[in-house]
Amino acid sequence: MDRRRLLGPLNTVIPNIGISSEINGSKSTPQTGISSSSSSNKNDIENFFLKTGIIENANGSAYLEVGNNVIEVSVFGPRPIRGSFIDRASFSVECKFLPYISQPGDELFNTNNQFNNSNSNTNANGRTGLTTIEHKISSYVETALLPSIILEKYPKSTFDVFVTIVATETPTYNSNEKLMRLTNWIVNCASVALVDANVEVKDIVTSGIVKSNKSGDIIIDPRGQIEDEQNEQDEQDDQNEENVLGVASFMNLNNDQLVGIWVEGGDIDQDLVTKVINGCNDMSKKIRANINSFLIDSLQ
Amino acid sequence: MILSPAERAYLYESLVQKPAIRPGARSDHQFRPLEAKTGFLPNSNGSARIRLNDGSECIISVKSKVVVTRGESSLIEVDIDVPGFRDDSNFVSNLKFSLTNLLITKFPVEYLRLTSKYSFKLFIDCIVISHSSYPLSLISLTSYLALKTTRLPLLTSEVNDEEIEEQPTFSDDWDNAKYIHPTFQPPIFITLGVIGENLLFDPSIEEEQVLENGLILSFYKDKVITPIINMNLATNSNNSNFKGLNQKLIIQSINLCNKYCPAIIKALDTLIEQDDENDDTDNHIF
Amino acid sequence: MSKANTDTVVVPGQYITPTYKLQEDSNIIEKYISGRGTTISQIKASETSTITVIAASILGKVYINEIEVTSGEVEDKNNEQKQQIKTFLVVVIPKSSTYLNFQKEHQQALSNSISINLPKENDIVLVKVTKITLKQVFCEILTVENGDNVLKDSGLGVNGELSHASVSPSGGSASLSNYQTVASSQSTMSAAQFQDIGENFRGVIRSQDIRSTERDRVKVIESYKPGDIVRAMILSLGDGSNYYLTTARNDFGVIFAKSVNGSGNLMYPLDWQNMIDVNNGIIEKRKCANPFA
Repeated sequence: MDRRRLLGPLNTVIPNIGISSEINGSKSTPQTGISSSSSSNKNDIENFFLKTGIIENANGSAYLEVGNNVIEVSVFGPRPIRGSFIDRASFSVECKFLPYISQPGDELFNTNNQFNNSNSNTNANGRTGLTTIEHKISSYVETALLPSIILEKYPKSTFDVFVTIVATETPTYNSNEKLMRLTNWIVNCASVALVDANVEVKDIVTSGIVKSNKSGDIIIDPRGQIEDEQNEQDEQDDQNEENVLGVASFMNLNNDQLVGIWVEGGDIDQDLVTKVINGCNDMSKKIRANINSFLIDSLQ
Repeated sequence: MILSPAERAYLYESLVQKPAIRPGARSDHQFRPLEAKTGFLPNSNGSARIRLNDGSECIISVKSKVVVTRGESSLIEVDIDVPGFRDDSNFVSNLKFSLTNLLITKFPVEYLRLTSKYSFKLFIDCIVISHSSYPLSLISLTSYLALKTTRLPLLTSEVNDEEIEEQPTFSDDWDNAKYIHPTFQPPIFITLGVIGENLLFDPSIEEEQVLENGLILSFYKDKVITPIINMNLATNSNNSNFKGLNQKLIIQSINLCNKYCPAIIKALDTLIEQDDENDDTDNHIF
Repeated sequence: MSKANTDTVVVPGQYITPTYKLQEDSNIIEKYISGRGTTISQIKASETSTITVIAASILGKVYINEIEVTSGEVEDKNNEQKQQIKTFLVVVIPKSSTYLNFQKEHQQALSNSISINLPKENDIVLVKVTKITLKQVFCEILTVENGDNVLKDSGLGVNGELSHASVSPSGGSASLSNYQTVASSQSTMSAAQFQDIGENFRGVIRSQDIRSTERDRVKVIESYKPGDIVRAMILSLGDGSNYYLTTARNDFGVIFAKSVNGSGNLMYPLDWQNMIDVNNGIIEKRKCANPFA
């Protein structure tokens, strides 16, 4: 029982201050949207399912399904801080896999981690800690979203973004691709959650992922299956070493500013990096167009 | 350390000039002076320490263990300890992820193969005794020195043990120990600060406070390799300048690294040579 | 002219209008001011030139209203012809903002603000008193006048009914993970420690700010008691924990209060310092607000 304040009775209804009778006071129903692109073309992006406002007690939330990935993001804030005065809001991201999900690259990066010696990621104190991979995703998302939020408008407050990964791709993907694909969609989902929370942002951050094949061409929005078809014969030679994978996030309406970049994999040169960035930019624009129409639909 | 608004504005204005006016009169591709020492930990296969003039210090020890190759997911394991940060903090975890990722994907594991069944597994333990700026490049330069001077005992048993049940045996004489590979150059990380149109190598903590973005590139075998990532280098700061970057700067940063990083590698190699020469006279670091 | 732009739905980042525009067929310059829910962006038009535009920062509908400019700097002295400048305020109203929708319907001037609903200096707020000491009154900020609820639950606890029944040791619900382990550029700054989820922004009314006369003779206990709903004004953003508030004006003070420390009935003001519970006749001392002042 909260003893620090006189509580109202249970089942309280919050008055809609200043609401006029002409406006329908019904609670906003969650909106859903499905991207309309067809998956026939190789360079098209995969269909995704998006829904906002699913979490009641968060200021904003979004849910995204793409392929077998299921991501859910909730945004809390602006909330008051404690301690000394800050003139801009603080921003944090926490990303967690549900405990039964195997994390991509688990065996490589989460070794030697005291939290992972047992099956659950709980340490001796019973406090849950993040694994190295969860930290990596968190910091990519934080870096990508930080430039977009207008923190100056929220003194003395904090924004906290919580990402939950409910499901991931099947093991046919190699772990790097799985991880980066996931990161890509988490950024897109978190951006929508921020908009849903009415947090003031300079622009919506969207992100894209590309993969290069051996001939130096790039595939936008790679899906493991496509790669498998191509490399059926030469599956023995380690194809994953050769391919360059890149995730990049942009503020498309703000001079196409690059807010996040993560390139992984084989050999690179400037031409390839240029191609990777441009490919990611193309994909981010397609996703942005989808998100825009989804958001506009949600308001009407 | 947090700069006052006036200091911050002054520093920002000097750094966006073309060319940038950096504190300490550094040119934009110049690293901070460093002092290094290698091979001082008697119980390790390889060790190195780098000290910077601002008091930053990092010690790395490399130890090896003979393992059955099949049973290991990777032959390199990295652990990083930074005083003042929890081991499960985002800061330490990211350093660990970056270094592990770089070494696992780029380290030529065939150098660690002993026999068809057995390999060396390397344990790389880093202690960042003190740091002011983002310590990733400090750690990676130290790991370069440590790996470069790592000596593994000489195998005396048969290389081909597919048919025989035999554990590898090694030469007793430590003088026979070999370096991982004579031409081996471990990959390193380079941190670059982005401010205006300028790219600054190895930003100091003051510079980090006003940077518009930060880039981390990796460098191996005389060229820039993956991973390439961007991040906010300033920790514990309310950096109001932080923003997205121009795509052209990424390309520019790759060119700059290709141009200047061979000099860094060369300088590190020279350090090792000098250290070898001094070895007989002075074997203590403190 | 500006009507054409109104009522369109915008997404964050979308350009609404440049900051200056020349009206067609006339010499009137239209100046646009960025209001709530908008931000000013520098957009590259070509390699060398940039345009300053007002872009939306939230999802909502655009409203552009002409506003009166009081200052005398309307005329451009360098120009021979007298150019007329019309000033417009650009505002984006989110769907959820009930108060802004109300304002818009009643054709009231949409005021500018620091943000959608965080209080800033000189804002009039409604607060709930949580604790009093001899020197000051502690309170929680519930809502900003001409704004919206500061937190969407008005401080009842974001978690609704459940928060009444089960409360974590710190009171209210808290984040599961340690703040130090979360990705944030300020993660180890002691300043950025967050509180329990559901905690409201807090304020302090010092005893000398309670009323404007006989400031040194104010007794806090005779002015406010825990549970009172008070109308006050923000003096300053204060420190990390508290806003500084004042009630030193006739129209500030207690609006709602219950007798016998909250266990009695709602009281009505008798005069500026007394309130009465009409059911049992108890008269208690409060610094009452006169809303008609």
